[in-house]
Amino acid sequence: MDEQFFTDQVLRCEQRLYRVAHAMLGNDADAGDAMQEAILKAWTKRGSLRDEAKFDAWLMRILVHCCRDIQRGRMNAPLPLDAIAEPQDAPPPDLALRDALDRIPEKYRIPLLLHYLEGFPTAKVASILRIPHGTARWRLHEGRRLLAQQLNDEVQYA
Amino acid sequence: MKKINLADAFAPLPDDIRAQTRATLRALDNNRARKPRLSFALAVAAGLLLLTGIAYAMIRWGAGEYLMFTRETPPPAVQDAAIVLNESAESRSVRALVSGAAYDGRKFVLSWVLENTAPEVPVLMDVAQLTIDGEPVYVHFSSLPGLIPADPAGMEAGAALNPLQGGLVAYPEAAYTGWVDIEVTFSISDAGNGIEPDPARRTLLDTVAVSFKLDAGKARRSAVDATPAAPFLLEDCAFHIDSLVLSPIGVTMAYRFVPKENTLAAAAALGNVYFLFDLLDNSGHPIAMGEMEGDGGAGPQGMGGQWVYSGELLLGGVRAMPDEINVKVRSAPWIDETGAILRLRKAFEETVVIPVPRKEDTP
Repeated sequence: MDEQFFTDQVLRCEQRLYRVAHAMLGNDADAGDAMQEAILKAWTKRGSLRDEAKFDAWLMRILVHCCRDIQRGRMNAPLPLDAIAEPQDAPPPDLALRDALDRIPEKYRIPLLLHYLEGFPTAKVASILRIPHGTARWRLHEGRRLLAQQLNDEVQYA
Repeated sequence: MKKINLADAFAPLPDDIRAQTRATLRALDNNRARKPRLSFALAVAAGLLLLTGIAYAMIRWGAGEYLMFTRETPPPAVQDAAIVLNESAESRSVRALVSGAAYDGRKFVLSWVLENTAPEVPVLMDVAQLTIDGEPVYVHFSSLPGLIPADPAGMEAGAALNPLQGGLVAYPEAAYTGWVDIEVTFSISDAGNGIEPDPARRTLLDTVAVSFKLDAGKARRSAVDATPAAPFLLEDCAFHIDSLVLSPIGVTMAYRFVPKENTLAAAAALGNVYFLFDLLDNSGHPIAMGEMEGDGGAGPQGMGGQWVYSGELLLGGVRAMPDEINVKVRSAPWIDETGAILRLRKAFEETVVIPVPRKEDTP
C-alpha cells in the first residue's frame, strides 16, 4: 500500500472516523487524538492489511482500539471536575438526538452508528468490535429499542 | 414514527481536526505528526466505561450460544432448562428445524436451523409469528431476517452459509406451568439483490410453520426466585425489587424506586441517579451471564397514588447460581445543556445485598 493510497483512503473516511471517535469519547480534543493515533498505527501496520477493499473496516477497528485506550487512560487518572477546562465543541444540528444517543450505553450506541450511519454490514460491525455476529445483531436490536425509548417514539433511520 | 438521521447527532468535522489529520498524513514517514495529548482530557463517562468493561468481562456462554448461535447441544448448566427438539417442517424451498427451546417462567428462547433446499435461489427468511397456546406472543429479539444462503457481502470470509442457525427470545405475558402448544411461522421472501431488503419491498413467496409441545413446568424448575422480602432504604428513596428471578437462560429483575417526595419530578429525577445496574457475586465480581441482555423499559409512573420510577432488567442466563447477589445501582453519565461535554454529575453508588435461596428452598 503506497502513501498516496493510504492518504486518499483516510481523507475519504475522516468524517466517519470523527463521528465514531466523538461518540465514544464525547469531545473534540480526545476524538482528534484518537484519530491521530489510529492513522499512525494504521500506517505502521499497513502490511497486515491483505485486502485493500477492507480498508474502512480495518481502520475503524484500529480507531475503536485507540478510543478504548484513551478511555482506559481516563479511568486510571481521573481528574477532579473543577480542574478541568471545558473546550466548547460545536453543537450538533440535532442536540436532542445526540442527547438521546449519548444516554444509550456505548455497547449499543457504537453498533448503531457503525451500521445505520456508517453503513457497515452487521458482519463488519461484529468484526470491527471483535464480537460474535449474533451479538452484533443483538446489540443493534437493543440499540434501536433503547434509542426509540429515549426519543419516546418509534424510529425510522434515514 | 419518527424519521431520524444519525448524522444530525454530530457536528461537521471541525477545522482543527481536519488540519490535524492532514498534518499527521504529511508526516507519515517520519512520525513527526504526534502532538502532545491534551492535558484537559476529561475523566468522565466512568459509569459508561465501567459498564462496558463489565460487559467485556462477561463470559459469552450458555443458553445464548446454545439456543441462538453456535452450539448444537446445551451446555450442562442449561440442560435443566432447555429441551432439545427435533421438530421440522418443509416448504417448497426451505426446511425449518426447531432444535431447542427453553422457558424459565419469564423468558422463552427458541433455536432453529433453516436450510435452503434449493440454494442456487437465495431467499430471505424472517419470523412471521410466534404463538403459545394459540395466542400471538411478541418476539423481543430474533436473529432473523437473514438470507440463506447467507449474504456473501456481509461475511468476512465471503462464505455462503447454508444452513442458517439462529433463534429468538420472547417474554410472554402469561406464566405457563404445564404443557403448552407452540408454533413458530417463518416467512420466505424473495432475496432481491442479495442485500436484506426493506420489509415493505419484500415479496412473500411462502411460509413454513413448525409446531411442537413444551413442558413449561419442567423447564421453569431451573429458575430460582431471589426476590427480597423488604425494600432497601437508600439516601433519597426506597428501592423495591418486586421480582428477581435467576435461571440458566435469563435473569429478570423488576424494580421500583419510591422517592421521599411524592411528585412526578422527584420520581423522574431518580431515573438519572439510579440508572445503571451491576449484578455482582459475594466477592464483588460480575455474575457471569450470557450476552443476551437488555431492559424492558423504565420510567416514572403513578402506582396507587404514589409516584415511582420503575423498570425491568432482562439479562442473560447465569453460568452458575451465586450464593448471593449484590445489586449495584449507579448514576448515569450526564449530558449538560450544550450537549458538548460528558460529565459525571454525581459519583453516586449504592449496593444492596440479596442472598440467593438454594433451589430446595424455593417454593
